[in-house]
Amino acid sequence: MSTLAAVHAVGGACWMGAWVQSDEALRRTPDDRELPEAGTTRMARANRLTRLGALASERAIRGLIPIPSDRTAIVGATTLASLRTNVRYERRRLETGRAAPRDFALTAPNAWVGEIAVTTNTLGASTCLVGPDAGVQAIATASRWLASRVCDRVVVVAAESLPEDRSIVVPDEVWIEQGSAALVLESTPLTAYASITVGWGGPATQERPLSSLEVIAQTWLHACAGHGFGVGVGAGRSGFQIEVTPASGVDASR
Amino acid sequence: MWQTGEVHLQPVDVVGMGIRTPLGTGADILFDGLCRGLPMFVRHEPFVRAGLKHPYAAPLPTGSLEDANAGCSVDRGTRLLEAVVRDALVDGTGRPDLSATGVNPLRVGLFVGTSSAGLGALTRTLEGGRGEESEARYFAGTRWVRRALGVEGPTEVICTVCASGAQAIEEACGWLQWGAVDLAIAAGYDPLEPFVGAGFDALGATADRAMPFRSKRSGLVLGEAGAALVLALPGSHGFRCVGRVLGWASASDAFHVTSPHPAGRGVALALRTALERANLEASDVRAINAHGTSTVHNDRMEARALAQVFGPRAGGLPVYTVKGTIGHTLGAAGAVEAVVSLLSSARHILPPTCTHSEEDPECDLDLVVEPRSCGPGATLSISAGFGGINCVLVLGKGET
Repeated sequence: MSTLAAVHAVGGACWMGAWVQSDEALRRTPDDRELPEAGTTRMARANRLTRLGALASERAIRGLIPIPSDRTAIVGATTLASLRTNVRYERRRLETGRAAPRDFALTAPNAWVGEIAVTTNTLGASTCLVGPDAGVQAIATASRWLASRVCDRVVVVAAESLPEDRSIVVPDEVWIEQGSAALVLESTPLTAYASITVGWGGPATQERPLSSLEVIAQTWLHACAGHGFGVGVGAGRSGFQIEVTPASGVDASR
Repeated sequence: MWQTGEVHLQPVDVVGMGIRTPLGTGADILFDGLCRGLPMFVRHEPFVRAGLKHPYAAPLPTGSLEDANAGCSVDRGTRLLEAVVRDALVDGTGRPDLSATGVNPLRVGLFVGTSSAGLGALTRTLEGGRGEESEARYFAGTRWVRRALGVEGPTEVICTVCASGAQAIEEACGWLQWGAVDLAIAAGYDPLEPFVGAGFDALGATADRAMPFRSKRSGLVLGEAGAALVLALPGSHGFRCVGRVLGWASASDAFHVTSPHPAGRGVALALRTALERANLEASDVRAINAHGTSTVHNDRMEARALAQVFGPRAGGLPVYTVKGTIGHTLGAAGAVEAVVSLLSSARHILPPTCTHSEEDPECDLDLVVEPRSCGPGATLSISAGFGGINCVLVLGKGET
């Protein structure tokens, strides 16, 4: 198996109805219904996907040493993307014959990533990957950007928001949790933080599929807890594998 | 403490191209049509029925997706993606599949940009249709094509609206550079959907005719298209090289979800970074393939960004955009315009910008309005999307 140079998880956060601090809590967290009060009017008007993404990413970068804004990047990961807003927008358009411009803006599948860039003043590269393997792909892309010196810090953020009309959700998607998770990666060797290695060419390393959100969350939670962790999607899916190697000195209460 | 300096990139060979636009199927038809300089906008019946104030669009010609390369999906967008991917494979290898690539399917990557995939299935589902729920996803078309072709390597779906197609190429080139794949297919596609047309219309961003960079411009006209490139590193393949991706970069505006930064700071940063990574100077650039949507804000922003990087009047560089001819093809645009840039380099001709009315002093550019001969050098292709995402590709002629 070939790999990129290891990167380091210097920050992270996971929200699923409450802040999730451990892998065990991740499995028991109830369905996400309420969100904390939005900090700005702009964010209060945003859709759930945007608010979820902003919630986790802002928490994940809190307390980190500031770096030039054009050296920070964002990779968004989501399976359902703006589906909840898409359903609301299109249902209203079909019923009334009129499109709602504010809703339409938020149907852009990457609008939430753009809002995160605005609220965090991130001027570096950004992108939004969509699909069942987007979590693994996002960590892989972020690691590649760091290895290529595209940036010095990447915020990898996953968010999922199910449509209110669950008839749109298909059986494969019922296991998708609602919430958000963010992981902050840097390439400067920092032995106090868990390292994350991206590889390809190896076999899949987990038995059940993990959602994009769960990949990001599990990677951060295992890094915090000082546990090793591996996730990957081998032949037939995204082709990348992620390995978390623990280090000491991580403050799991952040 | 922080790493400084960018890594200079290794150029990536383009060994095959597939493209379908309102002008028709194939590269020659596209370029000849662009050089005729006539807009392809028509009153688009689905937009008329949806009650749009500006129901004009540039759809694919009737029957464009009925051939074998378009496959058998019931979804129009998926057929478009499959068609251009197979077209590109035929162009490069002679076969509409992976059989003549000489590459293990595990080492073939598929990177697709889109912003409207699955929306037609969603609309039909909400109108009472059944059986298409799983197709109402941005990744559904890519999933179909991956299975149809037997791709087993890394597959990504990039959804950054107008920057999607360009970022798909960026991702493909990036993974080739790092050896995760030996062959990469990068594509961008978007079908015309009333979902999207009505939305842009409601935002006040549409017009009956696109007039990029001109004073009377008032909005964009949507187009329908798909484009795919087959990519490999030089020396790693035995195919002819039809062009090269010399560099790439993305940057964010961090300003507003739908409006570009007025000074074009994201575009300017992406331009500078792409040139630096390609190890090129401004003097190495022969032309700019602009985003040029014909909205008031975008065209002004882009002119300002070009002035920042190249100087007044973009340093005298010729600028063109195809959106005045084939419309704004959203997720396909970056890939379509990469193909146009490569064709332009190979033919030593700059295609004209189909536009109208007097010049806008706030868009002080050498806008190409007639086919123009042009010497060698790199073309910079700019894509700027909702969410403030900007992507620049540096494209050049293939080595012979």
